[in-house]
Amino acid sequence: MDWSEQTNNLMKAWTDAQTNLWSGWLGWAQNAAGMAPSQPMFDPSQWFKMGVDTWSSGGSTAQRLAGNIFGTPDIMSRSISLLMKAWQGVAPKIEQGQPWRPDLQALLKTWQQEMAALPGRQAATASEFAELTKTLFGNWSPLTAPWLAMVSQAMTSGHPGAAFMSGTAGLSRMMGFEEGALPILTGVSELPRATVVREKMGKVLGAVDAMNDLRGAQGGFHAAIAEAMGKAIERTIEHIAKLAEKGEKITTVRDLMRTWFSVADGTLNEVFTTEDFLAKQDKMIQALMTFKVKQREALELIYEQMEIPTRGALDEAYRDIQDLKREVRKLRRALKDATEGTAGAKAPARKAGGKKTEAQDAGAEHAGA
Amino acid sequence: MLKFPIDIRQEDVARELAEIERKVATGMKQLTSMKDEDVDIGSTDKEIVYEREMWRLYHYKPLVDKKDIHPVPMLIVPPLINGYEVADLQPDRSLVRNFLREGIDVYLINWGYPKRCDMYLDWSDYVCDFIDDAVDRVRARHTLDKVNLFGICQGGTMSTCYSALNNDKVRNLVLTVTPIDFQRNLVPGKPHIGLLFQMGKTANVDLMRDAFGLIPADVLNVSFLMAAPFTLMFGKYADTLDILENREATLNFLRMEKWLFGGPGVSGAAYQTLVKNLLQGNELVKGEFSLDGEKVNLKNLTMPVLNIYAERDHLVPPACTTALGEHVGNKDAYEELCIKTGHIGIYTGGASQKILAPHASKWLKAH
Repeated sequence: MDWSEQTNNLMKAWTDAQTNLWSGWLGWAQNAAGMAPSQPMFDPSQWFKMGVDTWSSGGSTAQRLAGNIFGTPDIMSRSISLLMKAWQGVAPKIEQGQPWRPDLQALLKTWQQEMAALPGRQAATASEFAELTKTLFGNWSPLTAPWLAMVSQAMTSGHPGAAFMSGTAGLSRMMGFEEGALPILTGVSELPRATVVREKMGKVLGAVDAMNDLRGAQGGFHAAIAEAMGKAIERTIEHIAKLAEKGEKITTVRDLMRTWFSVADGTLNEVFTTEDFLAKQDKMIQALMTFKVKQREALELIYEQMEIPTRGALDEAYRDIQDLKREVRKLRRALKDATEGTAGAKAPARKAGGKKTEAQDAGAEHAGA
Repeated sequence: MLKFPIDIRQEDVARELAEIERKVATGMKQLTSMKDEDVDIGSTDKEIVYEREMWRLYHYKPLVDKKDIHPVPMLIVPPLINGYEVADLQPDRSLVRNFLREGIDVYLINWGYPKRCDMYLDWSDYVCDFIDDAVDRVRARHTLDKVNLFGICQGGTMSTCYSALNNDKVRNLVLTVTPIDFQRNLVPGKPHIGLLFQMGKTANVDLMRDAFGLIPADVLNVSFLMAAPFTLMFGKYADTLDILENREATLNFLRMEKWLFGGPGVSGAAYQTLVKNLLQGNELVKGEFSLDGEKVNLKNLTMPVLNIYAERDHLVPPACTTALGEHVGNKDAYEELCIKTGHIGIYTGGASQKILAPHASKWLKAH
């Protein structure tokens, strides 16, 4: 049996096993959650979360782990599918000792282009995740689909770095994208124009510009991630080819996954420290932060018009309070030093190298702070 | 002729996935039976001896006879990033407990969870006010001029600054995996080492502070995960499948998870100082770092210093830590200890339990 045949058998075995796995989980999760059976779904991990919410309220550590555990086969499935598709594309060449990298590069190029274009595509095609996912699964190549689905899942609520997370740990939440850009800006644009003077309109436009900048920066960051992932795939294939040369074998799905994780992490680490990647990441984070600031400015415009206290006003108050606390601290220290001076005490304890002998009074200056 | 290198047969795939399915099902049953209070961290017996704003000063109950307690108490200063529980994760992996068993009288600052209103707290507030306040409280309770200070990671950097500014109040300084020279992060051929510092070197932290106010813990967690994204975000959960049937092993895993992902956010001002002045500007070793208008001069570190680092530390590479030896004021009183573990393992790892606290206690008693 040649490698093409063996690869096809492997793919079939993998697909069949996955089908059984998912259908088994569906039944199990439905029973566990006590939900009505036979609801159409495509994402077991999302479906599972509904079940977990039924079992327990609040977000416990165990519940979070449950989500991650349940998501593990999901990422395993995506990882192995991607690797096998890539392997399928190059295995015959490796077997025949012919150059295989050009074929892989051709495959990866399409994937990278689609991944880099995702932010724009997402904005243009649909705002609803379900709609977008249908598009991804329906129209894009088998190689692309699992990864784009993962990226898309993460991107629905924001940050492209969530591509890594498969939606299981909410990286988007980490960068504060939960506020959702579009609905808020829609609200801003509905502000009665007659009441908005030109400079205030500038703030609104500034937020829109910042959002556009963010999309551009995200595209660049996606491209950089896609390039890095492409390298990781290439190195993993190379690793597997070397195993063949040495007569070694991978015999379990989990070992194949571990190989992928290990090679991918090593490759990503290298890329993460390059100037080019750091520049793109900085640009993306900067665009993200700028957007948050501009978004807040635009929102505060509305609040001010409605005479509602703003985030900025509160922050100013916090700063004043903190400054006052520091003033109190200095005054207390000065008072203590003066008191000690009157009592004939030695040099103030705060001076490096100074002596402090009346430890019993120590800390008294902070009483009631 | 080359042999096909992926020898995973159809029946093996089916068997393996069925086994995974079984483990997941068992694990879910196990996990859904666990309440959050079962995942107890920071559980060593203690009392709150002082609280102010969002932070608390803990005093731990002794585990040895009163006569065996060392007369000079030790104050542990945890980092602002991540919770204090790293020093007391679980009974058999507890730095605090190990020190208590050695007869060290342990105090600890729990920095708590800063809120948005704390976003302007800066290093001056933490070092010159809060740590100073805590040190003074401990000194007053024991009628002592000086106490011992023990810094954890970035809490060690703050302890270093405090000791340099107040060397009349610190008898001994013990530092663990503490960044001092932030520019010595790169190790050729090992890009994951010092990656966090490398990424921070070009970050626009001013803008980050403006945007967030209080830097969310999750943002900080992402930075830590970048060192091995696939392994840390997926691989470790896949490996967890093998321990889910064991309740105690699962609880131990959850304790670490709870600590890792349950940490506090950090005031934007303090984070800005850490990244801009210390990391990007490397001001501490340049002698340019000031707090409350006073220069932090490392030459003022004339007290005995024990600087402990982890050989496999990828977050704070050993060179960033050991650089301190070049700057202290009394090189004869400066010692280093290397433990063959990682950044977190130094506190929670099995092997480290028998090295860190016993060695540091012996050293403290001798100084």
